[in-house]
Amino acid sequence: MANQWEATLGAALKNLADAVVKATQLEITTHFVVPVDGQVMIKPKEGSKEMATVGKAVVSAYTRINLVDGDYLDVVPVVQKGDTYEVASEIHEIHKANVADARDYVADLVNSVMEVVQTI
Amino acid sequence: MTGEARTAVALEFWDGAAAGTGYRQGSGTPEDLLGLWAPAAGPGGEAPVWRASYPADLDEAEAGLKEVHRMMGAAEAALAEAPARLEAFAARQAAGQQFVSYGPQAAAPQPESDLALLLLEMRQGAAPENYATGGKPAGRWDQAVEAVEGLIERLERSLSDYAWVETRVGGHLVAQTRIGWTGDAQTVVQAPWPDPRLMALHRQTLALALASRQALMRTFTAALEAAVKLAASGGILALPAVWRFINQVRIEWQKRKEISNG
Repeated sequence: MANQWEATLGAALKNLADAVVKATQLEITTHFVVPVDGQVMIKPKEGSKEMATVGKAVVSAYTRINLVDGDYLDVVPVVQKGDTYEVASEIHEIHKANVADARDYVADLVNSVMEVVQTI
Repeated sequence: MTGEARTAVALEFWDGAAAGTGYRQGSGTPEDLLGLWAPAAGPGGEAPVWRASYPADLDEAEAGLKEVHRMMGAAEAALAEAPARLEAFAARQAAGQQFVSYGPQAAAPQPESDLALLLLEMRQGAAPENYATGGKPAGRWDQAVEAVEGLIERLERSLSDYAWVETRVGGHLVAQTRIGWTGDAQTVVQAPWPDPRLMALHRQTLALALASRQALMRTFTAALEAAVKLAASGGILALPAVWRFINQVRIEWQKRKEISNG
């Protein structure tokens, strides 16, 4: 019984540890969606692991961070101001907060996973 | 949630089990270690779902969330007690001291005496005789094993999939995040841009869900360490007893707090 637990748990925790250790990039997307019946929603596309939004997606902001060298790519909506374009600041601020939260989470996760790895 | 009577926020969790099975019943231990998230009615799907429902009045919602944070801090403090008590128990056990008492005349059950009984039961391969009545305590080891098996299943599901975190205000889904273990996240919010207070509620909901998930993993790691120390034969055979102990310490701590708060 205990051997079975150890095998099951060991495999699951090892997979997690491998995924965390091997993760080289972090991707964060914020979709701004016009609600349907007052609600916003994302759900899996049928037969696919991709997500679909319910409602009309207006804009999306996307950030990809290279966890190895810290390099990053930001894709954010812009608004035209005369002859130039400026980042849509309200959208960018909300997205930046999501990115910061994800980075904090990953830092915390790495610590937790290291504890697990040392235990198993 | 456990604290529903004390806060206007309802926190629910669906662990991604097959429809209708959600949580193991009768396992003798609460399924949410922090005691914050109640089992969801069963949204279906394989991925875990964490859902927070706030009242439409945002002042009330924020006050409720503050109370949730206070309860979470208290639960984490309770969990922090368990490893030290397990260490002390293991030291006494290594020194050859035993403390086992049960039966009608026994003092109120303590986590340590229950742990000692379960370990005895584990080593003997059956529940020890109750010398007063000639009977055996009913199925504690089986309950503890069942709880751990449920936990392992839940951890396995949780580790193999992403999670959904939903924030509802006044009955409407206002933001939703799909997040993987390694941090990849997709968030949907209202356009053109949401009320900053609604976004703050969602970010805190997400933080609560992730902190709960991490607390489960950290506590489980501590339980594994303790189980290895306590099982004379090595391995994690003592895990059910340790996991039950941790939950009992948390419940005991909550009761003490309730009494001290009047």
